[in-house]
Amino acid sequence: MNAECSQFRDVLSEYLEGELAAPSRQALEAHLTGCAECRDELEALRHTVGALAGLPRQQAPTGFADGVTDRLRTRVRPVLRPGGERRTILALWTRVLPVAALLLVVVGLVLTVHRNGLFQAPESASRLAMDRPRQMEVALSTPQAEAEVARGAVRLDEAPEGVARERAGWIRAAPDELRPSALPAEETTVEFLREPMRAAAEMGELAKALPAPAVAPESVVGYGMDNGRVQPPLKEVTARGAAPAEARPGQPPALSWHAVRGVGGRLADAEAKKDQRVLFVQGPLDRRAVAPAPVQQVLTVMADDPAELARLAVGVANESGVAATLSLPDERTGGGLDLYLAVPPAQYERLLQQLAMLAPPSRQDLSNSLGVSGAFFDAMVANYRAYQRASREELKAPDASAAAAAAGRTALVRRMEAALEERDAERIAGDHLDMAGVTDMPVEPVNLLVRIQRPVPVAAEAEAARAKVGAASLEARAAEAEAEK
Amino acid sequence: MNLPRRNKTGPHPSNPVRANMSDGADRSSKEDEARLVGRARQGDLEAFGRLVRRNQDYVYNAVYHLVSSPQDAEDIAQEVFMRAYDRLDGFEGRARFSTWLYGIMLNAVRTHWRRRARRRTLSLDGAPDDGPSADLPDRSDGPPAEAERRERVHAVRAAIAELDDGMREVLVLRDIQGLSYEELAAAMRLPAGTVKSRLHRARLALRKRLEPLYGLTE
Repeated sequence: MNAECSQFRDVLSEYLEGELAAPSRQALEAHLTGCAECRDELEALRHTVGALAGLPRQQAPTGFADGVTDRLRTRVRPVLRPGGERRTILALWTRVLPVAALLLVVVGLVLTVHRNGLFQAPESASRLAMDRPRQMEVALSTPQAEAEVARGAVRLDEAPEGVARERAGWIRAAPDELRPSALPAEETTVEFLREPMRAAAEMGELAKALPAPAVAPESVVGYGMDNGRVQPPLKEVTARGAAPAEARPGQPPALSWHAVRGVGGRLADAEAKKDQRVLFVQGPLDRRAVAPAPVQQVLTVMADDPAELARLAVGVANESGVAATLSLPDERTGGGLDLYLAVPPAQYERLLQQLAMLAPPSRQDLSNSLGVSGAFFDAMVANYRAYQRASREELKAPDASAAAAAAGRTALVRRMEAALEERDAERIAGDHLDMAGVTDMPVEPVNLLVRIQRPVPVAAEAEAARAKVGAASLEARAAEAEAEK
Repeated sequence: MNLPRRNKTGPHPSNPVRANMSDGADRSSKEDEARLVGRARQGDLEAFGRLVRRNQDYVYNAVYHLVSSPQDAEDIAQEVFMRAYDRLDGFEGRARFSTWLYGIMLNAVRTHWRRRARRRTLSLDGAPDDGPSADLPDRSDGPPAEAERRERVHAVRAAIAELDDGMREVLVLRDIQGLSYEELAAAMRLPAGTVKSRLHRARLALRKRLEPLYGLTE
């Protein structure tokens, strides 16, 4: 093959597709008449393309579409309630309950396990207010959500005498006004009101089961509210090398997690809303938005003993220095528990593997149900660019070792540039994880929702629960259980 | 009904079957699709199921040849539609639905590749990827011509699996799925020139792999 041939070889594909402009085409055809090698090459190319086109077409397997819709259906999705029902319930609340406003917002609980604290006598409320941390709320990512929680959060020193300290931690009982006896025997509201009490008791049970922690204090991080101000979100805390929310000298490190209560409900799914994902709490009567938080993945695990698995999962998470936000068990839907974890990207894959080892593969499912939100994407892009700039500066550095280290990252930078150019969110998300491994720049945490559920509830129970609170929300749960059978 | 296409980028030389609609297709079909999309956006899973059925075969075929693993193909193809469901809000109807879907498919497949690569380095990947060897024909069955044809198919698929990811993408989408250069550029988010040169290199690479098996240059 000579030099003339090589220039013609390059355009063979275009020629094959009829795309060569007339002058080039004529030149090529002229060349072809005299060059057997190029003719062979053309034939080989034609043959190759033909072989590809001739591959048998695979059809989607039977039941494919149903598989998709089933999977979509059995994800717990936000439920729209008929307007009439909602109005009735609200009217009832405002008529009957003077503190209705309290009920409509999130009340946070803190449970902290201290090894030494397990067997002390109960203390008074005022002492609690001084010594113990204020309530913790789930970390919030918008000012509006922060404001909402700030409005609704009840401070410890406002709690009545009935603040009980369980063996394992402090649990706030519901204030007097919310006790069932103060209310008419309206089934739904009483059911709702019983929730906080029962949930609090259950939380105590769960807290008792938590293991002695084995993590160094500086690796425990948490969200918190301090005097009504929300602590900075996870990424800033980790970048500074984390102080735990409640470090006490001489105390063993705390296994730190906190519960989110949405009027006695459980963390439901997160819903895409434009650029945000909203974390919803499924209450006994209604769904309530808790906080906007981008959930990237949902790991669903079936466990005969959700509390036990939650305990293990929290331990696993804490070992990686990740705090867990835990929802309260919800008996009406089978006693499931939800854990919300905000994980530094560098640890994400490993933590996911460890969590996945807590249950057999047949009893778990991982889904990227929500993709990458616009805000998350933009934040990652900003991180990227900062990293690029930092790398370029290092490359110019006179220091040989620094330059060498920086040069070693060139491949990653190039990939990032390509991904940025193509606005490929998925690739950027992936490179984001890689980047976190080679730099200690603060990066957005990856948010994981771990849903721990009991296998199939008895059909009769599901039916009864459905009758009590009605609604498609319960049907969705029963269908999920059916699908899991 | 597929009308013959002659657009700026030229007809495809081997004229593969196009599973999705051509430009000249019924308007009513397109309106149908728009209506299904609208209902699916509001959570109508039944409508979405019909959308899936209309598009499942070509998506599955593409994924099948891109990931070279029948076991993973169904799962990933389902994932494509689930992502599509979540992102329906972002489909404004300006692009063709299939082009939009191809973009989502590429993302899903690339994520799969990335995860596979990471898992391999973490030595968690147990069995090696069987790839198209799952298709291996049973030589004792059927007439020799049929067996030979199946072997050929298997060889081509194996060669595709060995290509670099980027080249495999463009080859599958153009030469197997029959996308036009415009659709390709849109789905891959690359300029058309890049796509063309990559395609040519991909074809050459494939040919090189097939050569020893079939003596294509004889």
